[in-house]
Order: sequence, then C-alpha cells, then structure tokens
Amino acid sequence: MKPLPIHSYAMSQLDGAEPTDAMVPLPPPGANARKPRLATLATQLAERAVSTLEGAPPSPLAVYFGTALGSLTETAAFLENMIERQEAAPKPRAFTYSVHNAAASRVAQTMKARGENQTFVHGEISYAVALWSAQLAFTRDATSVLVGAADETSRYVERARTQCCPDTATSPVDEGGAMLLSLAATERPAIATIRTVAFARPRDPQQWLAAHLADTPVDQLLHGVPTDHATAVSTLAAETLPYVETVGTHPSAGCVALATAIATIADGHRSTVGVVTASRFGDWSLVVVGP
Amino acid sequence: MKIVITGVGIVSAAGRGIDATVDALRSGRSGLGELSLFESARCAAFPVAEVTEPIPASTPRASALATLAARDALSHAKIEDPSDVALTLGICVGGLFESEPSVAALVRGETPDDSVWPRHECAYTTHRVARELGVHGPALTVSTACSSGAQALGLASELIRDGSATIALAGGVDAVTRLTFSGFMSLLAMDPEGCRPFDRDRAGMSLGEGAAFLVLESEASALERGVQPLAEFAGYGNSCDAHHPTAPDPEGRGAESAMRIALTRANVTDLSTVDYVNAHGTGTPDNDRSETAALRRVFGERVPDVSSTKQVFGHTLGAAGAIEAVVSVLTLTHNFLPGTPGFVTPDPDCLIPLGESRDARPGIVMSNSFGFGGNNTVLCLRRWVTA
Repeated sequence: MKPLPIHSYAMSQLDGAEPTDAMVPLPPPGANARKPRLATLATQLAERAVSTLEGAPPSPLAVYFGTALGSLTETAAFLENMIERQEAAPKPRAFTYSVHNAAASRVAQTMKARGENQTFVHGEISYAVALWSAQLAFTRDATSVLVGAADETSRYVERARTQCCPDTATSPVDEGGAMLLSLAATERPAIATIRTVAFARPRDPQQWLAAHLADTPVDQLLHGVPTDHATAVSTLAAETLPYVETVGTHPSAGCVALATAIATIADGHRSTVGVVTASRFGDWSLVVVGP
Repeated sequence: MKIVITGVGIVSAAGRGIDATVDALRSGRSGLGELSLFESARCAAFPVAEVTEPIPASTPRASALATLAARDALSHAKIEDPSDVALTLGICVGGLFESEPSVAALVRGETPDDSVWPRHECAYTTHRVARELGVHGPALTVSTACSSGAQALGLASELIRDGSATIALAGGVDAVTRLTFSGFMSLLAMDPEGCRPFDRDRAGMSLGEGAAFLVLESEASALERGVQPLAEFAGYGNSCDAHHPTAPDPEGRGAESAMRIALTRANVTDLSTVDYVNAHGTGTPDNDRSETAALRRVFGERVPDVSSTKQVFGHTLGAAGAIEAVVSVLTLTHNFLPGTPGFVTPDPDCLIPLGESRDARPGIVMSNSFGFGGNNTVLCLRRWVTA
C-alpha cells in the first residue's frame, strides 16, 4: 500500500518529559458537561496537529480515530445522573457524548471535517487499525487526513483495569493520545512516513512479527507486548525498548509511542522505527515509520 | 475486483434466519412489544423489539447474539473452516448489558461484580465471536454509533481489496440496555406509540436489539469455491455532517455526500437504475425530514422506492446497518420490496415511503445508515448475474 506521509503530529504531555510544541496537556479529570473529556483531548490534539499549517487543511478532511474504552467519563456521568434521578429525565448531554465516536465527531464538528469519519474500538491496536484505514483512504482519493487515538481514565476505568489487568498497575501515565496529520497534495515536505501497517490475530505472534520485520527491518523497535513475549521480541531489532516505560500502559499508548517514533525520525536520530503492540484479546499490530 | 456476498445470518425481534426475516418483512409484522429484559417502569412505557431466541445467561448478550448470526452466515456461505477469514464488527454499546449494574453499584457506593469488566469493552465481543468460531484472520471493531454495522461491511470490503483477506465475515450487533433506553428517552427521541417512519404524526424511534453478519469475498473466490453469490457488494460511502453531536444536518448534505460516494464507487452512472433504498428511517422528526432532503438532492424528482423497516426490528443501533444490509440482500434474492410498518399518514415535509411490501425484481438497492455525530454510511448492492 502507498506509504502515508506525516506532516505534523501532536501528543499528550508525558510525565517527566520536557514540554514541546507538539505536546498537549491532558484535560482536568472528571466530568464537565460543556467539555466532554475524551472529545476535548482529541480536539486539542487535532487542533495542535493542524496548527503548523497556514490556514485550514484541504477539504474534505477525514478523521480516523482509535479508542479502546471510549467516553467512559460521560457514560458514567449519565448513569450516575440516571440513578440519582431514578430514571426520571436524566440530563441528555452526557448521553450524547457517551458514544465511542463522540471524540471523532467533535473533531469533525470543530474542524468542519466532512470527509470520512471512523472510530475504531479494537483494544490496544485501535490506533493501528485507524492508520490502516487512513492509509487506504490516502491510496484512494483523500486530500487530508487526521489519524490518531486516545484513551482517558476515570475511577471506573481504574477499577476495571485493576481487576482485569493487574500487571499494568504501575504506569508513568495512564491516559493520553496522539494525532497525526497527513496531506496529499502539498509542497511541504513530510517529517516522516508510515511505511507499514499490519495487524492480525496470529496463532504464533513471534513468527508473524519476525516475518514482517524480515521484510521491513527497523533500527529500533518500541514494543508494548506481554512480558512472556518481550524477551523474544527484543531479539528482532538492533535496539528494542518497551514503550510503557515512557508513554504509559493505557490502551492508546501505542499511538503515543508512534508519535515519539515520528519525533525520532524527524530529528534524524533513527532511519526506521517500528512500533509493535499486542492487545489483551490476542491482536497484534506493527507500524513502521521512516523518513 | 468484484466483491460479492455469499452468506447472511440474522437474529432479531423478527426471529432467527432468512425465512423468519422474509416472512416478517413481507407481512409487515411489527417486532415491537413489551420490555422484559430488565425492570423499569419508565422504560416500559415504550415498546421495544427484543430478541426472543433463547440466550444462555452465562454468555454476554451481545456476544451471544453476534455469535449466532455469524455462525449462520458462515454456514450459509458453506464455509466449514473459517480460520483464515477476516472479521469486522460494528457495535455501539459493547458489553454494557452486563457491566451496567456494576457501574451502578459503584455509583451507589456498593461492591460491584468485578467479573464483568473484561467483557465491557467493544473489542471483547469481536474477540468472543472469533474465539467461538475459530477465526484467526485480521479482525477489527468499529463504532460509529448507528452506522457501525454498515461501516463494518465497508471495511470488510477494504480488507479484501487490499489483499489482507480473501473472505471476510462482517456484521453488527447490539443488545438493549437501560442506558440506551434512558438516553434516548432523555433526548425525547422515543415514540410511546412505536416508531412511525415518515408518518406525519411520528414522534420518535423504538429501540431494538439483534445481530446480523454477511460473508464477503471476491467473486473469483466464491466461484472457485463453487458458491453462487447472493449479491454484489458494489460500493459504500462514508461521510460526516460536522454539524451537531446528535441532530442531522437539516439539508441532509452529509447523507447526500455518502450516497454519492457509494454510487460512484458502485459505478452507477444512471440513477434511474437504482430501484430501492432501505432508509435509515428512524421515525424521529429530524431524521426522516433530513433523509428526505438528502434523497431528493441525490435523485431529484425521481426518488426510487423507499421504505423503513425499523418497526420490524426496532432501531438496533450498532446492528442496524448490518441488519438492513441483510434486508437489502433479501430484496434481491427473494424478489420483493419491504414496506414501512407504522406509516399511515403522509407528511408534506417527507417522501412517501412504500407502505406495504410488494413483489419486485430490483437490480440495484441502497441501504442508508446514519449515526450520532453526523456519521453517514451508505451501502450499494447489485443483483449478481453470471458473467
């Protein structure tokens, strides 16, 4: 498939990292009826990603977004209100923003993005599926594309994660996201290129990954895979690094890791970086980024 | 590459399988009835289209519904070993049917049932279907509100086109939950009389639940397997209104755009060859008016036959686009057009839909699905003929 050029990116603020122009602070925790949390984060990321352009991106702008858990803050806020009022006329606003595609829709509404608008909810590899879909759109007739992923936390998410994923309890940051901008017709040079996007439910993940990396070798491999696969994965590139150590363990952490990979490429520190992610449902993805 | 549909599976308030569905569509039988899935005096004031097929209580409801329909679709397509098949699922509320009481317990300060959390995520349902059926091809889950099921079909066609899969199992599912019921009640979007699409006196939608799956593959793959295609998956279009979080663009411009993209990708140059549109037709005043505007912008004065089957199935949210895709396939294979149960009195602001089903032999049909956030997905199917 045609490589996807990346012209700018934005990512959530990382713990302990020096703020850069590409970093966006996380919205304050808790429900805010006027500013749905995940949608606000996604919109801030999108606005930051396009802020490097002179004027608006070419129309129609398409949006491909990934989120594993969606707008749980709004879902819980509506349920709280529903229970408090014993189902008598709960406030509709939180319900409106409880749908998984609320973030991508808000991005579209804010930026007048009338192109394709898709939200993928496929666990930790949602961002890779969004990238695949963006790459396809770019191969067809898309003019400008925003692609990324984000996940938020809340007391419900924390409860769920500690119950179903106790090994992820220690995390530098446990929410965040990133958004990338790709333009079809522009004289502006790309800062990086997405060369490969692959995802699968492999019977043998290591074999699947090794086969892909044999076709597309990388200098550095950032990975978010279970500990029982980490040792084997660490043999597949000259340099490997578990990305959870820098970007966190939230479901969209792979997308933030991809943004850091793009920064590495843009700075000329590496020539190819791979980001590999495994979901707790057995899905794996590999994204390779180069100059 | 010509992509075809070789199998369908469906479970809804109309029953399970093709025969039950065709019977309900031909007779215009409403699937609406009294709420029995959970106790709620307020929700019970509105009719709902529940699945009556027995569902084991030990299986998450959405997963069980999806697995039933997916298994039937594979069987219909004569696929015995689905291990390399791709799987795409559209879903809106995920495992909320099971996790809702635990969230409520936390809200009340009580100890929740923590066993439900791993099954809350939308991707769990996809995973569960894959595990139950032994599917190991690429899988993805998409959630674009009420267009999710249709979007899953479009994405399945892309997986086949880009060589990621030869055969794809694509569909949608959602179960009725207290949250969705209360949510649409809070938006004053539910009709206590039951939905009446395009009717002058319509007052909103009716919720439903169900699942539908379709098997997509290249025509070459189907013929090589010795399976006769049911229909050609000719094209699909997706767009965003970028207008409002819930209300559609009053002029229907986003829906118009999605229809035009679908028709272009399907190589439909003569609009008079489109014989039928299965409308999104929820029965809300805004949707039906906006959809009418969009259809008139695309087709001018010669709008094809249009009907809404929402009273047969209820509005099944993430499943709706897939269920209505199955309906569209059935119009081609069973030579009829379904009517619009609930429609009685024309609205001067809306098109006049087919009231009752009738025999027909459509060549090209479209299925519209629109969702929250102004998300529009349109499918275009064509009668399959031997080359």
